[in-house]
Amino acid sequence: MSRPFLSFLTDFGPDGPAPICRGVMLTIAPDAQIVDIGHHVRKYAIRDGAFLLWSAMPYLPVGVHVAVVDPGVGTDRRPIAVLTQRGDVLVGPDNGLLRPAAERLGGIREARVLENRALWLPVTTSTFHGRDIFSPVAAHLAMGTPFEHVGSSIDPAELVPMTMPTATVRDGGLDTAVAFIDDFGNARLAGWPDDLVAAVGPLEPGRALIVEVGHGTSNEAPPKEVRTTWQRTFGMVAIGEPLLYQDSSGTISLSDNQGDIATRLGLAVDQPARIRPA
Amino acid sequence: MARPVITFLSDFGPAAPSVCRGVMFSIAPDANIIDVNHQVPRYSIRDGAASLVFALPYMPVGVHVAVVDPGVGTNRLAIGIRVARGDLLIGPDNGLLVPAAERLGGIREVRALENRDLMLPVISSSFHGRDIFAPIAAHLAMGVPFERVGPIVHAEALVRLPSPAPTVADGRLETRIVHVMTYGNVTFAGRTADLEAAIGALRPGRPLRVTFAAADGRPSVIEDTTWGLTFGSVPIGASVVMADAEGNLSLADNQGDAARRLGLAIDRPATIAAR
Repeated sequence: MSRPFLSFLTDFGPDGPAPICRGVMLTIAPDAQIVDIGHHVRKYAIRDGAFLLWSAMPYLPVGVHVAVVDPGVGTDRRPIAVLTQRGDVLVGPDNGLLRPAAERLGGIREARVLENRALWLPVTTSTFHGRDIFSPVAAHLAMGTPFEHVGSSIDPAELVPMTMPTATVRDGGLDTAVAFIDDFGNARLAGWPDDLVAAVGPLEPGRALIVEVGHGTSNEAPPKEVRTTWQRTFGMVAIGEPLLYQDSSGTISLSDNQGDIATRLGLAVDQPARIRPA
Repeated sequence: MARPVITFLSDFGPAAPSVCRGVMFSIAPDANIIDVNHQVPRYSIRDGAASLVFALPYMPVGVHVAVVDPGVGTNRLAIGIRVARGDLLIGPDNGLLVPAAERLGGIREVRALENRDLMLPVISSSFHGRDIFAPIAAHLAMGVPFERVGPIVHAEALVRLPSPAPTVADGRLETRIVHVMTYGNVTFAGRTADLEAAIGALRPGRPLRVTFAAADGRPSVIEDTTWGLTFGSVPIGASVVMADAEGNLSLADNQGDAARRLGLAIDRPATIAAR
């Protein structure tokens, strides 16, 4: 039998808390294979965590996925587990964090509230449910505890939603927004190349485009215009030059080749952007 | 058989531990090595000890290597400690291991690491993590009996860190910062009962004042806050005093970094009073 598989994502940072959860999981599931998706999620940024989880899921084996970006820990927000159509179980807080990943895994088959204290650590605190609740429940599930043992079933429609930015074709351009900024400063935008094709026509490498950032009703600052080109990858433009491309998740991204465009332009998550022909 | 568990803590930063991991895997190829923390502030034995206390109770029973070792290569002993839970703790005799050993049920046996057969063939004077602690831990994880590492040392002879205790004064608790956590949450010496002994019953929302005296050239800081049960019991950005995940008193900002906001560091004296 192959080793039980768990993945793990948090905003805990590089030191103590994440390894402690790992210890809890390995105490219950000594042979588990635990993959750290990352613990550098911007602290308290549920949306960033949801995005990274969504990005990672297609590349992980079917298993139990624990995610903890949980500013509401110890309040009345519910701890939940979600069984997906692919057969994975996602474990974490009911704050929207798990929703995009669940959709990516085929959608929610069943959702349950974590209520069975027999699967938790004997003592639980009000500030560290990653250690006390999510990790032990996940490890028990990885060891074969039936999903229905975690607690009572809830209607998936009652789960806290997660709104990700979307792309809209309008007046010969694409209205989009910054969905995520990665460690390189690459700005992941909402929408897929097909959306951009629908807005501006065929995308040949080298096609000149203009990205207006800061444009939008909620932003009083005048839009900044970035003149750029559609490209296949970073190295097709000079170092420091911007490019638009289909990123490794399949969506549209805006980058500087070997640079940090987010810092250069002061980009932030949710900032509106509009792409139009040059 | 389950894979042997080795946990590993150091102040090496993100890159250097891989060499020690390589040494351990060379000796124990199937080991399950859990990196507890390699971001311990450099040379801070106190922070390393606090991190071990925080982590080891939640780790599987196994061998735990800890290296925060400003005295490496001097005459400080290299030691192994067997604890009541069955774990073995390996590291320098500078106080780093003792609090965690006590948390794991208490010290049962201490030995000096002297058996060169269990160390790397060449021993430097500046990297005992690689040359002594990692290989001995791996050999122990593979089943080498503990008594083979070296002679017994009396537990009373071990170096111990001063353990700050809070003082209940008239209407206030005199304490100090013993740890700063990853979110900037500040841990004080003392528990809920200590604060209640000083100022009476604590209920969520009770107004409190935390005063940090001037220290190390930093001016004194007064933080007006409240007692709470968790971060989310106060608005975002507001501070709260509560019992942390270990049951110790702590000051935190909800979704913020209290230590950075107030300029706080380990050992800073603090007074908690009602207001």
